Amino acid sequence: MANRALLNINRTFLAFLLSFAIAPSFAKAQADEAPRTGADFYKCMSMNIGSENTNWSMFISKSVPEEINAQMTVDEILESMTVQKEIEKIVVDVAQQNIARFVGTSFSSIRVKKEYNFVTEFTHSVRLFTRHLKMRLSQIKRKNGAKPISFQIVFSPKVSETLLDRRNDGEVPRLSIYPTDRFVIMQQMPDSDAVPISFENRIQRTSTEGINLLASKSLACGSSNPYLVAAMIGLTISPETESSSFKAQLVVGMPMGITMPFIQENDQIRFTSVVMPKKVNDQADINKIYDISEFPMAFVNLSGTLAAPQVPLLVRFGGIGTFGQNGFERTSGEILRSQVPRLRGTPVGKIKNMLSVDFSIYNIAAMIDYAKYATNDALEIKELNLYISAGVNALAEVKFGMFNKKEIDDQFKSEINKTIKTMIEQQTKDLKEKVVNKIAEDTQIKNSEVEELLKSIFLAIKEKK
Amino acid sequence: MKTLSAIAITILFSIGAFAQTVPTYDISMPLLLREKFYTSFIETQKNFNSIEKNEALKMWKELQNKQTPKFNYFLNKKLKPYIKSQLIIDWYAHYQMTGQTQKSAEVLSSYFYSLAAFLWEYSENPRISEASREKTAAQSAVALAFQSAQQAETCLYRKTAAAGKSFEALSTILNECAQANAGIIQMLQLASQLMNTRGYSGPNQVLSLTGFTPGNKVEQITQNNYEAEFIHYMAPMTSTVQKLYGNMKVSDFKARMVTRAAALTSSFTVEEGFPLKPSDHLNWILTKKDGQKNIYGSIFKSIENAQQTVFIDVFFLGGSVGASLAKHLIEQVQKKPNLWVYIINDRFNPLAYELEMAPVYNYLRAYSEKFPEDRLMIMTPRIDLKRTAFPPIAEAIINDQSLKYILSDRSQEDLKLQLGFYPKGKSDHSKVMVIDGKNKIGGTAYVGSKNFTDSSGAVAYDEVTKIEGPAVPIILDSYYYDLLEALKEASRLAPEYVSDLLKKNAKASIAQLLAPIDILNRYADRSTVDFKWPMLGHATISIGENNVYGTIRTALPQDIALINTAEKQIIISDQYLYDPLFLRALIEKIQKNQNLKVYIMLAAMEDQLDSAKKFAHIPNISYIDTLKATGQVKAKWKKIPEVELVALKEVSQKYGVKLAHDYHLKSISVDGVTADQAGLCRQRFQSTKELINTMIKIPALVSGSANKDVLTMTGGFREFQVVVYDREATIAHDCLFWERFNDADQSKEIRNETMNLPTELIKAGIDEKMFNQIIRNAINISYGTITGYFVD
Repeated sequence: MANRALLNINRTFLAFLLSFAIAPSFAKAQADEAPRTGADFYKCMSMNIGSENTNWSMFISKSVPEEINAQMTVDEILESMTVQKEIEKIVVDVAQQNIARFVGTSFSSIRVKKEYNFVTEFTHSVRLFTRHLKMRLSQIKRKNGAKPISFQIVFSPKVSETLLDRRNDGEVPRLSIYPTDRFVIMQQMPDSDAVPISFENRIQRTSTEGINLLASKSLACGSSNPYLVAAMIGLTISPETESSSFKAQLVVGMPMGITMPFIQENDQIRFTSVVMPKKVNDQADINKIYDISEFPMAFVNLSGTLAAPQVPLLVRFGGIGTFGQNGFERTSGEILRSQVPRLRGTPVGKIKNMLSVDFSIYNIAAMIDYAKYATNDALEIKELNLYISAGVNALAEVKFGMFNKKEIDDQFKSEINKTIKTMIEQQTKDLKEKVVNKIAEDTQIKNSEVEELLKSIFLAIKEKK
Repeated sequence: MKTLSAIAITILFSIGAFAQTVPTYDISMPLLLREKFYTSFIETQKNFNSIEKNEALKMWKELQNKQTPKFNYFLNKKLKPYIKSQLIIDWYAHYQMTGQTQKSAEVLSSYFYSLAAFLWEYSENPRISEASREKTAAQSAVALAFQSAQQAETCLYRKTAAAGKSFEALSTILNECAQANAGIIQMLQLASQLMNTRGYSGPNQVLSLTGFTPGNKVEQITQNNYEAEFIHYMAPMTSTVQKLYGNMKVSDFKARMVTRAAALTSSFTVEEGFPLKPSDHLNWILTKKDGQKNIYGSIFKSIENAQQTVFIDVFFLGGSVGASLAKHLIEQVQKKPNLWVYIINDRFNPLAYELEMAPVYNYLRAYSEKFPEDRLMIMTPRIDLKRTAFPPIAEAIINDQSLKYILSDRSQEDLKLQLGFYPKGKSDHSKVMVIDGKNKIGGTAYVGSKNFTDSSGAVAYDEVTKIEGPAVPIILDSYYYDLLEALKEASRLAPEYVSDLLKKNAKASIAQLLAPIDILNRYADRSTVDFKWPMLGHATISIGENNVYGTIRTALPQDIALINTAEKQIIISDQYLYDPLFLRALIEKIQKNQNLKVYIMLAAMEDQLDSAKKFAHIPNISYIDTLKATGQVKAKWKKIPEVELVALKEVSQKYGVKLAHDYHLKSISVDGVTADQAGLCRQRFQSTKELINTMIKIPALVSGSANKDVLTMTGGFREFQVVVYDREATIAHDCLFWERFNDADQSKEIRNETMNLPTELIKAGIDEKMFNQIIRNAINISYGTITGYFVD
């Protein structure tokens, strides 16, 4: 049953996948298609670039050298970060060689030429800089004691400190309108015995409330778009340049209760909608503040090394758990069905009006391989984890026959990959047709003749190479 | 030398005691208190300010926490009764536990002195009612507070050295030096009580270590030479400066200065189109056609009257205006054998005006090098000593040490000049001049927003406060360390320059070179200073500054504290307005006081001279929609009047010079002339008395160099401003504001729909509101600041 049905749903799966990977732009596209009016539209749009009522903060961490200890003074701690200093020195050195050239060619050209393509000039300079930097960094590996250095940058929503002050009704309220990075003589200080100060804990502490607030505001404005909740970028610069790696994660808030009609149907299941998580009594609870563990998120993970052409992409669904070494994590333990998106359909045939079938999606893992782009294999689904259930329509939330089988996942996976390839091929074909049509139109040559002409040109280029 | 506590007691009684004879104000308290933060406490103050060191401190604390479970908990539990600041607790624990006992004593002492200073400040704030219970309590506590801080200081230096590095030592020290000192406990309780008073929205820090200085004569000078007449007069000279002198080096000027007389006649000559005498330059006219005093003219006249010293720190100094001022200064030192001239001028941030700034700096430097015995010195200030104005991430990308390494390389000279700004957002943005600052009679300070280049300054809209009285030496002494650091750096980079200055003036040290402007006589015997300064008027002055080390950064909290005292009206008249904290404080204030009206006039978003620069002051729009949504705010762009715009375009075409007609003010007025009273301003001179009578509570006016933007307010820029508590000064400012605000030729309402976004943005689906928000978020996210919560 599922095997055939897959042919009809894989396009939707692809839309899913891409929508989570490029959530903000997807959200924009959705909004364009179904524009809201007035304040609602603005409010919901703004969710994707930073809510009116939600503040954002950025955290940066650097790796700490192993040799530092609590007996050291801050000056000694800074001094001991030798690897970092070594890298900084090289960056400075290379900058010194290149920046003057950059300034000379770009800034001075403003005066002389009056016209200046900043992007081109800047890109050129950055490339030059990067090439030199890479060359110099590769020299470090010959030195003893050179260790990789890691940076982690996190963006996350944060609740206004003023709000927290007010809510806690603390000892010294309303102080946060004054700069807190200066020498203050009175400030609120935590009383708890578990003062979190590690990088992870700081993010955890400051962002938890913010994520909650952002999620609840999204519900309040009835957002049907995915929206960015938080992002993490990790960089490891290794003395072995090629081993330098990156890791990025987008935490995307899931839209609530959107539906998509499907045109195609097959002989076993007719899919009627994509059902995003929606609580049974959403209407009644419109202003309910969801707990993070309840609120559904998509975790879009990308990672790779400078050397590798393949970049794995993993999309997971569920509620936010904690912020750990690897970024934001999904709620541990069993994922609730209410936290993941699902495809809903009805079987075709005699029982069509009686049963509904849901495919709940837990994970999608994909591989983006730029090297394979030419053969239309750039994006390949590597892993899929579905949870399938069927229920009686009359009792929509009562399900039976739930199962989660690897074979089914593999079947879906295989079909999706075929579709991805088909879609890419289709896009290529469309593009080619457009090009040929355009040339034919401009030159008044027949389409077939244009194709022949292009073929011969490409052949000539290929032979020349 | 008197102790600070004794001084505190003296101050409380001094004004009254001298009231019947010559009223004087004892300036020892403000000067000596601030001096402590520049000397005894400076190292710890610098550490508080260092992004990198505070990050390392966090790392140290994390390690302690791992080593000693519940470290934080016990740290706070044991120390919180005596220290209400996390920063102080953390640094104190670090210093003591790593054996830096001197510093651990410093950090605690600085804290107790700051608490005492807070009470002192509270007790003298002119905007807090004399009758209030809190103010009375603060007044009666000040003397004991300083006395206790002093006792604690002595105790701390002794105990920290003896107590050892253990965790327990931290509370032992405080038990012995604070618990046993009733004054400290009382001071802590009172400060805490004041801040928790219902309705208090004042600062959580000391705004000005120099307190409130009474007895000043002030004059708000508002007139500028922006009319077409000046534009046409000056532009050909501007062009000549750029073309003939733009690339002249110090050595080129020196070669022309064969004699002292030649120094005045060989450059910027009559043949080239410059005036014969500096005073002939039309810009220096003292009064304008309508009889009002002109900013440039007033300053020129004061310099002409100078007897002992002239101190100048101005961001832009150049062009024909700068050249004639330079000649005026040279004329003065040639005529007056006892006159000393000190100039610091930021050479790292010329922006687009290098071709005008370099000639004047190099001309003056050439004279100074050629004739060091003429007591004129000009140096570039140490802008690198401050923290970055950029978001903290800038520190992670490249630290100051690395940057210094790049910039110290002489091969990078071209880079520095071509870049046009200091790579980590640091500058000396002050616009301060002090004439005879050490003289009890004749001492004058000018604090405002005025620059001194043709292209940026001469035809801009600015205001300057002229001050005479006890605030003058306090203002001058704020720049002692700027000059000291500049001279030290000069002696490192150009040792022969400083050694010539010393030798030719028979001085033994840099400190002696600074003696004429050294109010505290640091070079010799401080006890000889007579701190009693004549009170020449009725205005009270409070100083807000971001200082040379970035250790004092009070411009922003001072602004916030001031707007929090507003009852009826706030006027903001500024080039830039996008500091998130300032704006959040403003929005909070508006929401709390539904009767409050706010009027804002800003430099226009688009450059009216250059249609390609539609977003010249783009950050100004980032919060306007939020403010306007409150319904209590009216905001306008400043417009260039048509007749002046025509003149600017003409000279731009004819001479190729672009004279910036910027709205360059940096002022805030609180509870001054209301919108309803604007009509009274029409007969400005006659109606001042009538307006004064309506102002029961003293209004306040901020005048200075600090824009209300986040770059300025982080402390990367050296800034100086004063809050003037004076009715006439506020009226002068407000009346001119209303004249412009109510004139359609001079201002236009800020409307989102008239923003004219580029088509690319509109195609991308970005509307004006969204654009505002993107800009706002860009500021907030990068600086880690917060705003917008109160807007729905």
